Amino acid sequence: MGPRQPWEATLSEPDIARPALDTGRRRISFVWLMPLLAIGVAGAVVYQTYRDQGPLITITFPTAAGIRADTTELRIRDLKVGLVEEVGFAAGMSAVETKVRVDKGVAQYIDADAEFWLVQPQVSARGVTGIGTLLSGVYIAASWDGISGTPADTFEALATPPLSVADEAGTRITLRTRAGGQLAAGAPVLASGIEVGRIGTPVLSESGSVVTMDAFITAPHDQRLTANTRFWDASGLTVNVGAGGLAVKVDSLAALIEGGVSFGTPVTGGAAIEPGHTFDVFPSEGEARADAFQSGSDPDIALSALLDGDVEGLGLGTLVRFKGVKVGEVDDLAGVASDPAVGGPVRLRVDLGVSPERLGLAEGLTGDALEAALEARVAEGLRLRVANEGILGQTVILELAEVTDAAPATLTRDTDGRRLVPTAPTVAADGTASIEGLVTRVSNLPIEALMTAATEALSNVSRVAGTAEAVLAADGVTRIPATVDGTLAEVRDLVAEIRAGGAVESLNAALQAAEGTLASVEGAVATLPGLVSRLNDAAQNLQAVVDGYSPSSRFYGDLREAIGQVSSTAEAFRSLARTIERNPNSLITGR
Amino acid sequence: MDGKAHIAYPTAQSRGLIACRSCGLVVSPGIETCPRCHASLESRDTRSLQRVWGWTIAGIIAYIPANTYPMLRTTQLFQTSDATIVGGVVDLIHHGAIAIAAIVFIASVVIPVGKFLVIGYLAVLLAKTHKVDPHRLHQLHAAVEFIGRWSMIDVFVVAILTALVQFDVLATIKPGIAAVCFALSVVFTMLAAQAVDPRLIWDRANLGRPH
Repeated sequence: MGPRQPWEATLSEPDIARPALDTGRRRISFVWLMPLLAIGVAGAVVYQTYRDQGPLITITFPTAAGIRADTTELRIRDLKVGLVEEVGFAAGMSAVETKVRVDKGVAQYIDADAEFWLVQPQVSARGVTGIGTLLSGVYIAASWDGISGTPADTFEALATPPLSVADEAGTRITLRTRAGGQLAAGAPVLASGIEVGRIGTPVLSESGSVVTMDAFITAPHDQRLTANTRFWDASGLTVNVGAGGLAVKVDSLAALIEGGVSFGTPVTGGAAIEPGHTFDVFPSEGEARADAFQSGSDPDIALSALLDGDVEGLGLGTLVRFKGVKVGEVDDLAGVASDPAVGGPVRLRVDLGVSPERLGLAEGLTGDALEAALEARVAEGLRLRVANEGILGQTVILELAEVTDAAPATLTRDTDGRRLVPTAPTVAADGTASIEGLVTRVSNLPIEALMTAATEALSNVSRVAGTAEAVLAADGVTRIPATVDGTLAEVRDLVAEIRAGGAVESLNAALQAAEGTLASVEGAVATLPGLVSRLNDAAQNLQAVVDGYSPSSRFYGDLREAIGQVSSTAEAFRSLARTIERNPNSLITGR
Repeated sequence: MDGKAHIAYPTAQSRGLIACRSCGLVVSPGIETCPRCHASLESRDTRSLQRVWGWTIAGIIAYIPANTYPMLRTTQLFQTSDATIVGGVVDLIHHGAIAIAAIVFIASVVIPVGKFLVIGYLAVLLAKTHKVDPHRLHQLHAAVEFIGRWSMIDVFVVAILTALVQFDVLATIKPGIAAVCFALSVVFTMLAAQAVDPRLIWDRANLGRPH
């Protein structure tokens, strides 16, 4: 026992009544309601969160470009409908995969046609877009229609904002051009100078010769699109120098920098178009309008042909004529091996777009009827051949011609389903129309020999003139032989003939005009040797004549004058001869 | 074992008296309310431990969302960021504000968690006779009761920031749902601490001395 505590003594006091303890009932405290309530509330919250949680969709981007988990929003019409929960790599690290928790209310509309793209600040010629994202960070924009379909949960983001968001009123069309370099995605489509649409990303065709791009024309301007609508390039500046002075035209500042296309419908009454209709973009408004007036409303039909041999000068846009009328042009060119398996000689495949109406086919033919009509035409002898055109035959064109004596052939199709029109041999270049022919003929002219003879003749004339001078200095010139007059006349005629026959100044024009001119040149040249010999004769006659003249007679003066004329004429002729000798081309070019 | 075996300390009960918990007046049994302060008189609170457990569990339940949900929702120039308690502490450490981080961490994590542990320990201990020094237990209980109110520092910070930082687009701070949960948790633990009847500490103390 330790020392007693002072109060321990009291412990032994036995008879103190204890206060009653409330131990009768083991009551349960109301406090237990609190944790129950807390659990209930928490459970309700968890359940509601789970119930309201939308699906998780996966969107794949080429780069993450500012996407952050739990921060980057998914917005539709600029309203937040989801949040990025996870950013990671796709399998193989080939792309960035984001998992987006989408609000439950909109989840039902996310089907396969939903589109997603990243909105970033962009500075372009048309202004600055997405500037809010500079501060708030990027966000993922979405577009889908209000029709719920089979839910999808994996998407690939678009590289650029789509041309049109779902449900946007307007028409989507396809534009086709050869010079897409002027046009950038987002470039405006103008109508009468007003921006009515925009261009999608230009895509190079497989063959690399044609650029196609989608374009979206917003309502109500898309009402103006018909089959007669023509598009033209409105890029850059148009400078016209004409009698009215200098005219500089810019369709819009944006079009100047980014390019753009305009359209117009110069011919009314065209058929309505289906979405996705393909329009060609013409290089200029003039060409577009001309085309609209020329061609009918039926779309061009595609024809192809395999050409053998070397067709130099054939290119995209080469004209296709039928009976002298333009019916279309070359859309594409490709070298194809005649046997794809083993190679072999390469042939040139030309793809043509041809207006059926101008080919003489009935209007509105489609499908089998069109095929039948084309086959009939081929059976009648329709062939494609290479021809030359132009003043000097410098332009190669293709000609659809009805060759009556053609070997029988039919319209066939190649492995890709192109209609192959049989070909006919190239029409031999018409000599008179071909510059090669002309040059050949000119170079075949006996100019060298001719000139040698002419030079010889002229030196004779000179010598004669010198002798005449000496003769005239002497006395005894008593009579005027008629032969001198004749000779002088002959010399004049000769000069005139040379002027007319040589016709150097007008030779070019003459050549351009007709082959008759060349014939006359040839004729003139053919007479030259004769002329020269006559000139020689004349000179000899002259020498004989002048021997008997005295310088004192009145004729002496005349003669002196005449000889001076002969001399100067001879000088002129000599200079001409030398010029021609040095530069035979001057005969053609005129200088 | 006789009734006295575990009553090692003299209590009002052992003297046949009832002490008023409110004003300390010791009165004879049979009176329902304190003649001095009119507080209800009860010799022992038989449901004390039930209340302790009830409030403690409620406090723990409330403390879970207080930590998982955002405490502050800060909007700065279109950019919204949510911060949980622990996330905020980590942010503060990254910004070099170690002292403030320590204050927030102690007020929001150490104290509440410590309180749960202490109250739980007391409740477990007082369910039966114990051999721990009742003076220590009493000090522990007093400390828990005292320190409980300081946990509210976090809630006050949120309230003040929310009231002060309202610059529309530039910066806006809104309280998150965690602030409410945290406040509830603090309130519940304070009630739990209060529900401990300190007289049990002495009643159930078994000094282990033979009689």
